Amino acid sequence: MFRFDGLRSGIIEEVTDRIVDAHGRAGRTAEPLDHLLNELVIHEQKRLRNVRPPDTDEDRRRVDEIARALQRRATEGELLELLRRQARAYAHDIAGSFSTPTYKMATSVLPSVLSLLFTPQHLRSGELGLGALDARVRIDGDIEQLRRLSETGVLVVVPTHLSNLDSPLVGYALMRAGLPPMAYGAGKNLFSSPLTSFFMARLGAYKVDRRLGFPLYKEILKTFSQVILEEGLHSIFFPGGTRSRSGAVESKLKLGLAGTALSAYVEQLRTLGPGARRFYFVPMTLNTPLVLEAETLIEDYLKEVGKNRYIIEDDEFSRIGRLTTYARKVMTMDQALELRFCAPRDPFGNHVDANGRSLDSRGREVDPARYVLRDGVVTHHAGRDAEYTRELGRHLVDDFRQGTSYFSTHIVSAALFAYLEAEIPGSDLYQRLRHPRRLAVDAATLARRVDAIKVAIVDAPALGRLSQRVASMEGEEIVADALAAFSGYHTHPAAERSGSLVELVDRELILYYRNRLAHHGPALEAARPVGGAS
Amino acid sequence: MSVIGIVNGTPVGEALVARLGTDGRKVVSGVDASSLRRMCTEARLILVDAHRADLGPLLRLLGEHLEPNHLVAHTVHGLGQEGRVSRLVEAESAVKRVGVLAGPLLVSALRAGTPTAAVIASHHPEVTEEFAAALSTRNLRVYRSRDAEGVELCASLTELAVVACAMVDALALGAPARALVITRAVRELGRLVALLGGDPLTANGLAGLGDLLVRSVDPTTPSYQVGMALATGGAIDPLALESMKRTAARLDELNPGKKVSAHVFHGIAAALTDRVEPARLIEKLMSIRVLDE
Repeated sequence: MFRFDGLRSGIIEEVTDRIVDAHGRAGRTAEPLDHLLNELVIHEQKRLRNVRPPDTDEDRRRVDEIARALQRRATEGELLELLRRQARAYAHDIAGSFSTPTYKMATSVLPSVLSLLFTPQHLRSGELGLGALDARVRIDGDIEQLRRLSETGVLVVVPTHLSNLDSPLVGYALMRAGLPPMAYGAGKNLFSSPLTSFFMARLGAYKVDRRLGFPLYKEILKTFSQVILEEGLHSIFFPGGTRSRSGAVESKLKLGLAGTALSAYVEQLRTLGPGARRFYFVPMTLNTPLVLEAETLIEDYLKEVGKNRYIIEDDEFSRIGRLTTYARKVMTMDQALELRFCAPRDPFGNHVDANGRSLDSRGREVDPARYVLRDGVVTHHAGRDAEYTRELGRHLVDDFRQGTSYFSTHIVSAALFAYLEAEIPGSDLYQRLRHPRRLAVDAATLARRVDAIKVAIVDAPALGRLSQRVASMEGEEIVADALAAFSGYHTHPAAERSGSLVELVDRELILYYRNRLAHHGPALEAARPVGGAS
Repeated sequence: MSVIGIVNGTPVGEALVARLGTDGRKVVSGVDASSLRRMCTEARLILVDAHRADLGPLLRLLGEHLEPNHLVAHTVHGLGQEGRVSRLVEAESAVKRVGVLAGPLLVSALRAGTPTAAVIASHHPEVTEEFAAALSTRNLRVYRSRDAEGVELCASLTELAVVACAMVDALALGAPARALVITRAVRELGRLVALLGGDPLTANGLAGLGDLLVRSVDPTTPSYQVGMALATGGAIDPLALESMKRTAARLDELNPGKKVSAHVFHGIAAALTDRVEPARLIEKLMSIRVLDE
């Protein structure tokens, strides 16, 4: 990334040239150019109707010009020139502008800012700095291997995604692990604040405008990603596409951008041969006991409008008071966040050894270039590569599950939700959540269920693990720990103690935190009350 | 024209080798270590034809020679605890591009050179394109499908439906009863395929209905023989029975709590494990409440 500023204009031109080349040759093989531009005009005119000038005057002028050219049936050469201008404009908008001075300033300040955010009590004692934060963030994984791979190849970090706080957390984890800064795609809506925009644009973030869902924009975005990977810039993709609305570990991945790593690798092999850089996917799990935006996310999930409300503008992330309360809560819970780098894989899903050599499932070295050979020649093949990436996604889902840590909040929620299911049987999810009956479970019974879930988790390591803190606790302690975590942050606690009972207060939140275990069949089975409702 | 390697571990593989050779294809075949090494050197396409029980050691041996640029397909029937055969190939080798070849590949038809057909299924387009081109001849039409899970499941579960057809024949229940079994089995197969994320229409194709129509009238088919023996109390080939019992056991896991309605298949599974007599099974199937077709 330190080279990005020098490369920026060249990258924009390269992206523009590739787009024009792809469609200039087209006519015969790809979508006709006039269809492509028509679609662009329709989408852009719709978008621009809802955006206020003057910021968009230039956009409007370019789109109108394309519309007029299409009306008068302009020549292919003219249309290609208009495509070039539009592609360059999009590429320019997408490209961030990494700044080394800003990065150095940010990395010296970030720990203190995060520390202040997460542990404001240290403000009084003047103990700002990494120490307080380090104690609260546990980073796992073979960091040495990743450092080595980052020197010889290109890292593609693919984290799970729960919160808008994930980007700074990943950035912090990379910094603390001594790994280089990386490019990452961030929703353009996150650039709306001048302060965050200033930092994000200079810390490797490039803009993804989710309102521009038409094929040409996606193609430009993917080409941009491919080009920066070919330049050797490490990248971060959130393969869930957006924050997990349900709270579950991602199981369906959107790998369009991640797939550009394979395209970049094939292109490198075609141009450089055996000297091509290798690309390494690094699955990463971000494990936290509480999620800042949990209430908004689960509400969105339950409305089943996740797709329509893709861009949430008004969640807890945008409220500084909630942000600070969340941070303070997390950091006074005496629970560490667990950020875990899983074992890296090549773009075909093979694990790699300490030196970056690909290994098949029996541990034998394989030459990854041979996956893309046809008659001894390296070839691009869109269908083949899409399938390789889909298979990679299958491995990433397994890695995410295996790398997930379960906190007391998840385990207790799983037990409480199973109790809810048993008490209100035969109803659908929504009836169950809105059923007027007040529910409370005996705390000792709940603790026994929690112990059973704990055993089920330990017995199935491929499906995740206990967080370090929970591992040493018994059922009763875990229940108390979860109730303490729930109190005082969300509008209502998910559950709270009432004498010898634990009352289910916010069923939606219980569902949200329980969903972290949604893929864990044995744990959910263990959560069920013995002999039905108790 | 591509060279094709065929691991000919059953009579079907041997008949395919002969058919393709007669029809002018270049084939390298065998099951021993030196043949496997040679075919992996000479061919990019490798077809594995083996009994399910022999598969583990065979794949381990073959895996020594397979490279990332190989494309592999298999004809293996039957479900096992180890999961899909495609995944076993991946677990034993560096190969990522795997497919399944299924359909009415009758040894007699292949040997006689009478028109016959099969389907090659894989998520990888190169597998379907290249195998279809290499295997299709003037006597054999090989269609392409992207529904690898569906075709693999159909190829395995059709055996159980053949058992049901054989029971109908053994009990002399007549053609309408046979039609009933076949149509209901195909519908159930579609549901089971959909349950596993495949395309229910695959059950109506060569790997499902096509295979069933052929094997359910072929007395040399092991599953037909098992069905006859179960209904008449005759001697049963223990290997064939064991293989079908494994498939039956796996079916219960694939459709836990009978999530989708599959009375014929679960009924045959029960008959194979001696939980129900064939005559009683037919009675039970006939007493199920009639719903929309």
